[in-house]
Amino acid sequence: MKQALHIFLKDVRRLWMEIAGVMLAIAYFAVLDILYTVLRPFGTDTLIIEFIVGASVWFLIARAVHEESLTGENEFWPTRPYERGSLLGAKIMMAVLAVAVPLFVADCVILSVQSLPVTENLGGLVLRQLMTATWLILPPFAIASVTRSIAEDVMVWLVALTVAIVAYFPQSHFRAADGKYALAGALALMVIAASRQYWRRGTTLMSRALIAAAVLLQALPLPESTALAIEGSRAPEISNITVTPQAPLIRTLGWNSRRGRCTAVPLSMGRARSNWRLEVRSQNSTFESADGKTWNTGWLPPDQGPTRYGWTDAVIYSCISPDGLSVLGAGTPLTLHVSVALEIFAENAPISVKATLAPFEVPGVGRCQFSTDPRSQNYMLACKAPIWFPPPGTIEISTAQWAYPPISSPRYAWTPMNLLPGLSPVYKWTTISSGLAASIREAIEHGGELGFRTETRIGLIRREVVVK
Amino acid sequence: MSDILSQAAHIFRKDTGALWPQISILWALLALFVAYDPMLASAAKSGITDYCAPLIMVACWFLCAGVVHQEALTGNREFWLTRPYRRDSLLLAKLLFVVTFICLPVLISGGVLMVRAGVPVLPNAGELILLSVARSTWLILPPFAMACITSGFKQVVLVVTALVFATTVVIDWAQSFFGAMRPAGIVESHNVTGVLAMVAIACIAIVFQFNRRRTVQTSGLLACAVIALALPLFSDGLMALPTRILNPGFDPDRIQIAFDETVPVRWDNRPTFRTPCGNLALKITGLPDGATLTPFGDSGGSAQVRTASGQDLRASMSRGSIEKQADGYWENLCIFDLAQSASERAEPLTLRWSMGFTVQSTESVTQFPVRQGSFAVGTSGHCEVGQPDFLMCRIAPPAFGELSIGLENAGYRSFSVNAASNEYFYPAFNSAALTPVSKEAFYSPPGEGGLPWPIEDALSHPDARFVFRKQRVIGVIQRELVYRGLRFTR
Amino acid sequence: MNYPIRCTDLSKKFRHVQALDHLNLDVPEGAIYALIGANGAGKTTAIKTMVNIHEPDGGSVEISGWGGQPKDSRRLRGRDFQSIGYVSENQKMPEWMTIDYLLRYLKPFYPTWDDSAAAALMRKFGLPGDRKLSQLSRGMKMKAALASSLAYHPSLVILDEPFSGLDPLVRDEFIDGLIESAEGTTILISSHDMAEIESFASHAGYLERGRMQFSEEMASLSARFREVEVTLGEPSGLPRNWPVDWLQPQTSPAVVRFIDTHFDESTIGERVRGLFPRMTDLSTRAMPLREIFVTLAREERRAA
Repeated sequence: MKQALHIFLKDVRRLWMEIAGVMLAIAYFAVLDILYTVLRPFGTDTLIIEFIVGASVWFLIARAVHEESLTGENEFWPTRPYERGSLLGAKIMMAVLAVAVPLFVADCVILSVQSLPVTENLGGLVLRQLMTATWLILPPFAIASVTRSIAEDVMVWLVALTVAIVAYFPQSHFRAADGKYALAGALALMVIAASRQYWRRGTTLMSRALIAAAVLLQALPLPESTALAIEGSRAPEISNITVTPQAPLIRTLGWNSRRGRCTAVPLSMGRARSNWRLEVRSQNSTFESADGKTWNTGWLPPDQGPTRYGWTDAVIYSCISPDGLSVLGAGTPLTLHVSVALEIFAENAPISVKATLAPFEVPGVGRCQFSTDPRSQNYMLACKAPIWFPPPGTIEISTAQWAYPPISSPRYAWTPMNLLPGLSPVYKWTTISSGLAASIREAIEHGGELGFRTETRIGLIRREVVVK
Repeated sequence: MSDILSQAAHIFRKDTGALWPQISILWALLALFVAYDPMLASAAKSGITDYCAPLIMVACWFLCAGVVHQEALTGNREFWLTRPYRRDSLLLAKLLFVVTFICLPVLISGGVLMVRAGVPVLPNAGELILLSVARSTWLILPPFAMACITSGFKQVVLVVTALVFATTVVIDWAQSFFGAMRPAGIVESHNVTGVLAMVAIACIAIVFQFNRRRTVQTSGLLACAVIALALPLFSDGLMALPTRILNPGFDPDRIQIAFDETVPVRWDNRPTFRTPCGNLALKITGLPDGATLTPFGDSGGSAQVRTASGQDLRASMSRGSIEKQADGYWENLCIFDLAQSASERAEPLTLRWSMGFTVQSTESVTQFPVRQGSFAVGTSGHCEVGQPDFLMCRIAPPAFGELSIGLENAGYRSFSVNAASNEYFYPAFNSAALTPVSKEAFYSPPGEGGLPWPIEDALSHPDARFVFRKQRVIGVIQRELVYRGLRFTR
Repeated sequence: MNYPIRCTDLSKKFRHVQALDHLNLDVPEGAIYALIGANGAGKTTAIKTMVNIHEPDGGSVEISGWGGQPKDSRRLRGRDFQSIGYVSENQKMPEWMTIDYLLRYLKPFYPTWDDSAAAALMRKFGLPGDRKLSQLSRGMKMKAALASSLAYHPSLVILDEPFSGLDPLVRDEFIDGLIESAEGTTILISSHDMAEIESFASHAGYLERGRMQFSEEMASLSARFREVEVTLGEPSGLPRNWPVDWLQPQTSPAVVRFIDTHFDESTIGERVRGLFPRMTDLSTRAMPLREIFVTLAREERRAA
């Protein structure tokens, strides 16, 4: 411990500029996050500063690790009585005290300024720090442990990010689901590589191979069954769900210049609980002509996002391009085979809250308040949820006499990083209720109620749909 | 001369051998960018280029800094200092390197993207080269300059991080400080003065450092180069300087823009807005024949609406909605805070509005009949009328200009949208900036507030025409407009 | 007899280059052992393997670790270096540190750190405490590295080419400081310059192409090598039964010179007369270490 502290103090002396940079960036992020929430409750614009925080953390961690580089033969420290554990401890101390603690303090300040309880959320804040550390600190730590210099580090990062980008755009939602587990696997490999470097200093070849494996893991064509097996095991009964195309409602929509001729196929779900809902995440369509010719679209995301008829149904759009039509023969009857990735959601018990212009708490969702959009004069519901993302769902407003259409889009707006937390500990979102301002005003004036119908994701299934 | 070239070529070959991994990474990213061009990639992979673009920028900067650091210009322990290196050969070798491995690939990738988008390359070669030069400037000049005053990539990263941080903070605060005096966004867009000054000073600094190796003085020069970006904030004359130099026959001061208070406000009841919006007539004189005005800047922040009692109201000038109609120019204003009482609505308001304009001359006007299917837009590209609710165009816009599309003789009043323009300022941060072909799809005309797209109707008008105007920016001006006695009544 | 360093059949290969080839080396306790060899002989590789910077491909190294216990070099860890001092011309020092801070920083790592010894070394070497390592000359840097490796009274000091690039004055200061401060310590020092170490080394080992050609005490080495000059009464060629331990014979009409590698004063006359019955005179000359090694190196190359 003493040696670790000693090395840490030396690193602080050496890297004070980098440490100051990180703290400054984190402080500025906190200021921006608060200012934007206060001044522009309907949007935040902290992307650049989040990038700066990430870049400065990377730089600090890489420099700290390179101070006692784990590669190369001419380093000063291997012939000195450094205990590996102390060395690793010192670097972890740097990561914690120079990055995690300032982030934690910033989180507390942000929560506090936004009138969200800090002590109640303490456990969540600590857990958040751990999760943030996995994506903000661990990768630069692991990569720096197998590189010699910042220049080498940058090259590895460029390659890693390129692979991640190409792999990130999944062709099927199974890849996206697999991606979560691949990412977890990649992070585990990084932990092993970094630990190996510190405990077993010898050739770095194996450690570099582990890092390469971590990077490439995202790009591997993992079998779809991976995610299905993991997620299916959590809710075994979803494997019994049947999905049936609603044949009488099939229609040809006509020409879409980008996609070609498209068909909408509504689906209905069977053998499911009454409060379950389907959502199409991606699909792979194959058109087959009578004489056996086929044309395949490959895995694509759903064309228009989650659309549905009713609460339990979903719609898949399948399109065939003009090239495909010429292959199969325009005008010939076709059979459509669709492999579809479906997410299952369960509706939770609705939460009712009195509609009011004052701020109000929604248990499990966050703290909300109605306000007016200056451009449209519409009422907007702005909510903030501390620490964790709120469950998705819809919001309805009603009075004793009337039940109005939902004032939110079918889901709250999500950030794309629903796997790992973003930099801000307060998740902010708003609803847009065009055309319902008068209704909302009326409901508020007549003591109406807001109903939050949240849902929980149950799992992911794959089904095959055939439409002749 | 041949000695200089010969030594430069020799150093260039050595640098190529030393930096082939970095070169490979950059070229791989460019290849990825071209391969996943959104127009041609599947929908699932169409976003890859947006993420590739910043990586391409990082890879370019990394490569640039790396090549300069091969013979670092700072410090006194460099091995080359006591070798017979010619300074001019050294600089030439580095320039040759960045041209060969950055400028040329950017140019080639632009050409490939054009070919894949079906836009003819040869007629647009000049524009493509100009664009590539402008973009390469941003990809090369900053890292090149920073590498001249640093000895390793560590220092470059520190400098870049500090610079980005400082720029973000300074620009934010400077804009808010200067906002009342200058159109918001002047530093970020159409800042010809600032950019030219920055490029010139940076180039001088680089040559100075290569020749004299005075790092402190060079750093000072480069700091001046960065501050030069803010030049337009300080003076109208500086802002208009490039206009006078590049277009000597054009005097921007002759253009007078004012509200025509003799023309009553045309009340505009937009179904999607619950705020009073009106069209205010503008008196514009001195505009050269065929020239048009396009505003820029954050209109919401610059419009100040004050009541007779001194209360400031929130207002927004709808950006880009200066419309040249048959009876003149009109600007649209929406006031959000206007109270509902009749007396308050009746009291006169004072509007102050500081806005920047680009003045564009029309180089060519071409017309095409409105028909379903695709048609070529001269040598600029092609468009397609799809299902009668959209128009899709793939166009290579002029290097420093715009291509606007209008619809005339279709039973609706003519309108115009800026179809395609190139982001030549700060171009490196997004995929649009690295692509010479603009991909625009129009589903409804802007500014019409939900009125149906007229193409469906236009198809039944035999005289209906798409009108394509190729325009080039000939000047940038700033004007403050004041309307006293503005009355908004429902 | 204790051996703080024992290499047994040590082998190390880098790609296609056999850097160490079944090296056997024993460094006795308390010795100042000079490991000598030409550039590329394998000295640095051997030393780096001893301190676990490289892992051997074959054989083993036992080195005194913590508490003086012999340990396989592969298991050498942090605490073991508390009794080992290592100075290398190639090692990257933390250039940003001042000398004072370097010593202050290193002190907690070594329980036996002696502030007065450190101060004495600073004085002896004339090191400016407030100057950064990056601002020091090469000689000063090596002296600073040595000071930081002797201040805790290590039982084993390993020096890899410490004199490279040092001027004679600095070299002498370095050696004086080393001998004074490391009295009783086992020292392994590698060099390709015999002249600079023969004055203080007690043992020498000659490394050629990764193999130890010989390893023995300096005294016995000097004692058994002699240059012999035989004056002949009449011209004579080299006899056929030339002894194998007489190297590099040179003949001229009246003189034969050779190097006797197993010189024995009591028998040399008889042996020479046996081969040259008509010799008229015999003289011998002691050889400096440099000449001994040059002789051996030539023989080795000739044999190869």
